[in-house]
This record gives sequence, C-alpha cells and structure tokens, in this order.
Amino acid sequence: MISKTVKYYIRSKICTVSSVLFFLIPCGFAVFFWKLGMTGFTLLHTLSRYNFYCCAFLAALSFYFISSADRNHVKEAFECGGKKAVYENHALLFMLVQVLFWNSAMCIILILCSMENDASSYFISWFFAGYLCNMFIPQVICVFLTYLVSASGNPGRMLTPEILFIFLISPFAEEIVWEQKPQFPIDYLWKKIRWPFQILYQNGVWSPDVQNDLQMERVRIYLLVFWLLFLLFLAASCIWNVKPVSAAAGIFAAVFLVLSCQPASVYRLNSSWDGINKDITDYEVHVNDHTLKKPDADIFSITSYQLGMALKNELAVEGNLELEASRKCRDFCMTLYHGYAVKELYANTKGVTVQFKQQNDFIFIHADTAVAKLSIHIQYEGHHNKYYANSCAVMLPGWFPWYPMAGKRQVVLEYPEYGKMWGYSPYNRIKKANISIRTNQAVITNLSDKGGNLYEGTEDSITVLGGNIKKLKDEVAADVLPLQLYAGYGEEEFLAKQKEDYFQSLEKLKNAYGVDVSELEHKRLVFASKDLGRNVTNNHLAVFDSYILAVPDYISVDDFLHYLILQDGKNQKRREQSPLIQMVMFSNIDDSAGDIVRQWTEEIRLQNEKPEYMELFMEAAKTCGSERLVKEAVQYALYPQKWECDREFFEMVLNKTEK
Amino acid sequence: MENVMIEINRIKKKLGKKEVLKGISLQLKPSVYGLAGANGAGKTTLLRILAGVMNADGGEIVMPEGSGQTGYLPQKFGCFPELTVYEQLEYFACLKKIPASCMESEILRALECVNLGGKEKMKCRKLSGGMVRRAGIAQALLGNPALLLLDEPTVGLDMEERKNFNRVVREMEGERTVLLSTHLAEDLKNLCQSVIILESGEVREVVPETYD
Repeated sequence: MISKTVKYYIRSKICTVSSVLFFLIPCGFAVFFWKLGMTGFTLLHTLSRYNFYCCAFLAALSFYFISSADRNHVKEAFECGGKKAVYENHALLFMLVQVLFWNSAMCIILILCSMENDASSYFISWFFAGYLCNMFIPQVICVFLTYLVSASGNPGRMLTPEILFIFLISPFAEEIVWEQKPQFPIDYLWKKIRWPFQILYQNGVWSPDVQNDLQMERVRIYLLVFWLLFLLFLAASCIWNVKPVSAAAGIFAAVFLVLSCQPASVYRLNSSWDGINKDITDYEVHVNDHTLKKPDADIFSITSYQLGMALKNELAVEGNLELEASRKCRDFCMTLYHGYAVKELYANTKGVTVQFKQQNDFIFIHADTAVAKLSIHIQYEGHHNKYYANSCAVMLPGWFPWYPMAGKRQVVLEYPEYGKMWGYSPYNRIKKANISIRTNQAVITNLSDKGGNLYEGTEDSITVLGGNIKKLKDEVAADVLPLQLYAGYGEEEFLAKQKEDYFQSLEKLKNAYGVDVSELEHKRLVFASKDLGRNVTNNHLAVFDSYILAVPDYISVDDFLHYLILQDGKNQKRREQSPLIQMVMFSNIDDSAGDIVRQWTEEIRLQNEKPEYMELFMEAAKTCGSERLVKEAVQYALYPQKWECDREFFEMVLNKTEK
Repeated sequence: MENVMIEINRIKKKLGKKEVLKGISLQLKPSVYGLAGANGAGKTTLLRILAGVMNADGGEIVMPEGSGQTGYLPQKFGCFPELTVYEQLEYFACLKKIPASCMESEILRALECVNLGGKEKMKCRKLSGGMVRRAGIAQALLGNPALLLLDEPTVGLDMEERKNFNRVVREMEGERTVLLSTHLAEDLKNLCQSVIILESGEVREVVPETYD
C-alpha cells in the first residue's frame, strides 16, 4: 500500500517538483553558507531562523498530497470495510519519511560544515538536541497537523484553523509587540494566546547568544511535547479511534501545557516593553534621575553567604546570610532585584525574630531586638529578562543584585555624558564576604571549584555563568565560549588574543595615558557572551577584586577608560558640558594620537564651536603635540573637577608646555 | 429464514441534530435489492454504515462468518488523475488484500466486467465521466465481494453503458447480496428482486416483503 502511495506521489508533478525544490533549495543554501565559512552554530541558527518557511511549505505540500483522496473523491471508496483514513495514514507516513530524510541531510551538512569551519568538535557533540527542537519537531508538528486537517472529513473547512495556526507560529506574529505599555492589557492577552504557538525559534532576526542554548528552555520543550501529544490525542480520538491512547495522550498533553506555562527565565530578544527592555519601564529610565550617586554609608555588611542555587525553569535560591553591623540596630535593608520574590525570610539567631517586607528592589528587615550580628535564612526565586538563569544557561554577573547585597544599591544607571544611554550599574560590590554556593549543575564562577557543584571563596561579588561555556585551566583566562571559535581561531588563538589585549591595554593606559592601572592588573579574566552588555551601555567589562568580567574582544583601552570614567558619578554633569571630554569619550582611544587629534579637529569644526575654541585647541595640538594632548585630555576626562572648563584645561596644557 | 446473508438490527444514526436513521431493521439474502426513497431519506447513510465508512450510533449489523469482502461504490467517485486505470484498481486491490499472485487477473477481470477491458493503461484524467463510474464499479467488484453496495451506480452512464451494467448485475443474482440505491424506476424494475423504500430514516415498505 505504501509503495502505491509513493508511486502516486511520484506521478504527481506538483508533489515531485515541490519535493525536489524542498530538498534542493534549503540544502543548496546550507551548502553555500558552509562553503562561505559559516560555523556550525551560525548555520544552525540560520536554518532555525528560516524553518518557518520550511514548515509552511511542508504544510502546503502535505495538505495537497494527504487530502488528495478526498479532493479526487476516492476517499470514501478507500475506507470501505472500516479502513478509516487508510490513504491519509500512508500519505502521512510518506511525508514523515521525507521530513526525516531532509533533516538527516541537513544534519550531515551541519556536521560537515562544523568539521571544516569550527575550531573544535563542541558543536557536533552539542547541536543535536537544539536541532531536534528547532528544526525537526516543528516540522513534524506541522505535517501531523496537516494530516489531521486532511483526514478530518472536511479538509476545506478545517483549513481555516490550520492557516491560523501557521500565522500564529510565524515570525509575523512575533512582530506584533507593544513597545510602550498599553493602557488596556491587550498585549498580555496576546502573549497568553500566542505562547502555545511559539514552537519555532523566536526573534531570529537578532543575532543569537552563543552562550545561551538555541531557546532550549524546559518550558519550550514542554510546549513541543504538548503539541505532539495533543495531535496524537486528536488523531487517536477522531481518526484512529484508539481510546486508551487517546485518553493517555490527552491527559499528558494537558499536563505538559500546564507545565509550559510556569514562570520561567526565557531569554528573548524583542522590542516588547516588558521583554529585555522591561527595566526601562520599571525604573522609569529617562524620566527619573539615574546618574551614579555616592552610596549611603553602609551600617552593615553581609559577611557570609551560604547559598543553594537551583537552576530549573528559573533561579531558586535558598540559604543563610550572616549580617554584621558596626553597631546594634533593628533595621537592615538589602538590595535584591525585584524580579526575584522572597518566599521566606527568618532569623537563625537565637532569641531574635524578624519581619521583612520586599518593596521594589529592597528587602526591609525589622528585628524585634537590636543586634550587631544577625543570621538569617532566605529563600527567593524568580528571574530577570536579560540576565537569564535556567537549566540551560546562566548569565548572572557579580555586579547585578541577583543575590542580596547590603544597603540600597542602584541597579540601573544613566549616562548624561553619553546622551540617552543607560545600562545596569557595573559598580555594585559587596564587602568581601565568605561565599559558598552549591548549584544543581556545573557552572563557572569567580569562586573556587571544590567539586560536586560546590564553589567557595572570599570575594567581593558572586558571578555565575553557564551554558555553552567551557572552563579553562589557564592562569589568566577562566573560560572560553566554544561556539564563538572557528577554524584558524581556536582556543589557543583566543587565549593569546585576549591576554594580548589585556596586557597591551594596561600598558598603553599606563604609559601613553598615565592612568593608574594598579586596580586593573593581576586579575583573572572571566568571559561571558556579548549579551552581557547587549543593548545597554558600560556592561561589557567590569573590574572586581580578583577578576575582570568581560566580553571577549571587549578588553581594550577604550573599554577600560570608559569604565573608569563612568565610575566617577559625581562629575557626570561636568563631563556632559565639556566638548573635549565628549570627544574623548566618543573617540576610539586605541587609534594613534595623530588620528585622534585629526578626528577631534574635524569634530570641532562640524559642531561649529566658537572660533576661539578651535584656536585654543589647534594651538594646544601644535604646541604640545598630539600624543601629549591626547594623554592630557584622557586625564581631564578622568578628573574633570581639576579644571573649571575646557578653556582652563587648554591654558594649563599650554602653560605646562611653556614651562 | 433460509440463506440469510446479512442481518441489520435497529440501526440508528444521527448527523448533527437530525436523526437520519431511526432504527432500520432488515434481513438480506443473496439477491439484488433496490434502495429507494426521497432525498434525505437515509439511503446513502445506510449504505455508508453497511460499507463501514461510517459508524452507526446504535444497533448492529451481523454478517455470517466467512462472508468475505464488501464492495462499495460511493455516490461520488473519482480517480487519482495521474494514475492509470490499472494502477488505480491496483490501489484498491492492495487495500482489499488481494494476493499479488492473482491481482493482475482479478483487476483485468473486473475491468472486463464493466467493459473497460483494453483501457487499463489509460491515464485516469483522460477517462470520461461514465468511464470513471465504470471504473468505480470495477473496484467494487474486486475480490468477488459477497456484499455489493452501489450508490447511484448508473449516474453518468449512457444507454449502452447502462445496459452493460444491468447485465453485470443480473449475472450476480443469487451469488451475492447487492444493495443498489437509485432514483431511477427503470433500474428498480429491471434489476431488483426486492425494493426497500426508506422514508425519513425508517423502512416504509419492502416490496415484496423479505422478512417476517
């Protein structure tokens, strides 16, 4: 029977030509991109991004083929003797075999591409699950759904729900987002309606995060399983009439749908107001003042963290904190990002009872007795839309209050000297504390790995990273992102480059610009993916006591300089008023001094600064030379309070030269 | 009741809100029965249930063991346009599990019966409406079915083809049970030993009576 069905398929010109095109075009493009030098990961991301079109094409082809018997009025005769949907069953089987062949071919292309263009075999050992979830299973779902429509007895009428399904899974439906919070929560309704249809890789127009998986969160897996079971339930109950299978599939489908709706940390890049840009609304960025302020004097510090971290759908933390105050007090305030809800908080200290209140980013603890030392037990869970933490990947930088920090901290900062730029404060540090965290899976942290997922150390922060990230045994670099490497730029080359960047940057900062680099030297480099600082400012690099958390290739003179300049919150407004400092901040300080001065000259001319400004600038450049001028300008940018205005600075430079 | 082939006991069927069959009971011997009634009387529904294409909501159909295949020609019958007549029938032969060793001869025999002998290599898209109908009858005859259900079999057939069809049916008298739904009085008169008249989902009359 199957051979007859295949024969019919081959005889049908529409089917044959469609199949040939379906194989040739995507495989052709895949081979083309492979030969262009795309890495395995990039190629898989590209395929995942365009899989919707493959699914839509498959659905159309499947509909045409599987509903053939009904369309040609053969179905009823075929079903004589109780053989319900006999043709459709064989047609489905054949379509699924084609899908299997197509995907096998794609997998082979991906493996060959990776073998040729990748630096290691990491991708080959990693990609299969991501491929299944982003390519194969969505195609199977579309074909199976089409089978149900075709075998329903009224394919014409059932086509409308299928077209709606195709629309809801499409990138076009993805584009329907609200960038501003609407008055009526229509966006919430739309998201709830659309969630079950997010079976394909989302937001493919954005470049992927190499550290994060290809959206392999548990909730998404549950969703895929839900669809498979739901379609099985429909087939078993409406077509195959197998009641036990139908009952079991229906029950489990419902379970997985519910599981998929759990709160979860899912990293999705879209322009929705409550997506990765949620904090713009939450913190009223550009409405309130978020310039860096001097923190209040801490009356207490957290001297010990004993935490258990469970990375499942989102982050769940439970553990003990030791609070130590300079004097006895009853009130303690800690900062914890408002996306993490405190479930439980009580005092371990004998004879002390505490009450707590969580308000925005702050946890207010009130003890019934004034104490200088307080031990508390805390349990919280939740997630942040950008700094994800789930069973697949983790991006929890040490400057972000994903763990309680003593005192009131600024979570976001605005940079007036950069116009409307904003970012998360990379300057939050805790007083050095004894830290012990136990996780439910291996991670990379700034702490020492004690084995058995236990990490300990005495540090000024807790950074936790996970996902497509590989620990290194190097003295300087703690880790590498294997999916970022490619043939000719493997681990060795990567390490060599990052170290070279680091040491050369320090040297230039010190020698060329007279910057005190003592706080920057002798640090371990801990790398996270580019998404650490994506779409925000001043988050690509941060300097801690024992390590630097950075994005690869973002360890440069420019990055260090901006980090140091922006750390000085007091003089932000002063910098904003200085055209010269603005030019320093917007220049590529890694360029040669001559090029920099030429750029500045052009900049001054374009900005129509007063003629005497240009004259002063040109005189300074001519008199002290480009190198010295740039060096002095860098110092000015770092310490603007030393001069009232640019004129005074130029006069200083000229006077110094004259002396 | 001698030579009872099929017992139909209180068959009920509801389609939507309408009760199409309200408890049909019949006993059918090897003979040619006509099924008559106005549009909406339930003729096609009854045939579909007997063919196994549709499930009844109530009642039962009892067919003696070893009674063999059922051949069914639906009201609307077509072919896959890209296949040849032979290939189209081969499809049906596979479904009826006709052994491969005698499949070819069986197909050719069926085609001969409906006067399509020599047309087996013709593409179905080139068949006229009448030829498609005959091909439909041919597929119903495959496997020498003990029960043959024909829904408006002569629709689209010209005089000559109808004569041929009548001859084929007459040859089956006494060999198998044929239930033939038609609006044509001529077919009822010339072909059927008995006529079952359906009205509003019930058996109004059987002429002559076939059960006690």
